[in-house]
Amino acid sequence: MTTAIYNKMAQQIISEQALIIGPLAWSEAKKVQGLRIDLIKNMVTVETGNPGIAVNNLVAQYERLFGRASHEVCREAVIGLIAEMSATDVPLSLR
Amino acid sequence: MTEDKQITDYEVELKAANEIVYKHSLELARLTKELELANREQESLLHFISHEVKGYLTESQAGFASIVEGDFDAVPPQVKTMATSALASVRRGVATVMDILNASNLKKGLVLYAKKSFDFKAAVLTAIEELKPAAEEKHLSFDIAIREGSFMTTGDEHKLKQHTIRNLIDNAIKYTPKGVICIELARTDGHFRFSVQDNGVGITPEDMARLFTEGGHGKDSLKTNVHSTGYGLYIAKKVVEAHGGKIWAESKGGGQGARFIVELPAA
Repeated sequence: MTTAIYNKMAQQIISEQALIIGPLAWSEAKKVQGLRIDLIKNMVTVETGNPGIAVNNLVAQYERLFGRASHEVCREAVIGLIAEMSATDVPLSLR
Repeated sequence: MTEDKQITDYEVELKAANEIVYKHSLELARLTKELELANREQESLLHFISHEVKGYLTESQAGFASIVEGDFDAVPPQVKTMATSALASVRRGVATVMDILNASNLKKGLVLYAKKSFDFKAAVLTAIEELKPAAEEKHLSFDIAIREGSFMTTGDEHKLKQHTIRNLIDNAIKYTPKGVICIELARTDGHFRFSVQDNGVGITPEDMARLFTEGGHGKDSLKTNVHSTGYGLYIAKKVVEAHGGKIWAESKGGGQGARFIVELPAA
């Protein structure tokens, strides 16, 4: 599984969170290990290595601040992408 | 209680508060999405209905026009009178539906402008001639002040004439029970200014805020003009702005007349 799908995953999660908490979604994502954020273009790139862990970290960052509801928002944001992935490629936090 | 425990308790409270705020924001985001969807569906329905109704009205218009123009040989005078009245009514219906469709298309950015060089002064004078009978019917007069100079500009002549020049003069006629309508055209550096001033029903501060909005009827405007769609000034604004211009209104309040001003770049 290429990192492209994880990039898309992270992008969709942050964009969906931004609809709820505004620019805070991006500034919190910037703190997450394994993600490279461009705050001017609002774009995210997952660093190679273990991209699934970077996505897990992102989900955990939001959950730490905003609780279980934010975790559900992350899952719903990528439900379409998850459907195209094999079970083992789906990040643990989104299974 | 130790300081560390106080900080921990504070963090727990803060997190709980964050979660509550997040859930409220989530609900708000969900409702916003639903509202946006409802608005889009309503726009599509309005567009579809307007298009369908315009089709039926256009057919009726053709039928009545044929009777009035004698395509079916001579008809009894009462029939001709009825057909003439019905034709005028259907034409108003078509104009109303076109207003609604135009407003919808403008909002979606679907309108194309056929821009070419034309004489704005000639367009103003033509509109005045066309609307003179309507003004005379109400015993209104025009006071026309057109300064010297060229008023050539680049734009969609038909849309500027129809939706801006004619619209403003026609509104002045409709909303002025008696008196004079002053029409001015002057040139400043790189721009020219077209204005229509009347001593009619005026505009209250409350109505001024909604004047150029979609469906932006003044509170009592339908009493004065029962055929008002509320889209005319919205369309005028969109057309003027598409040509790099500005449009605004001034009034001292209800019953104190109004002045509408359009500023457009000169060629």
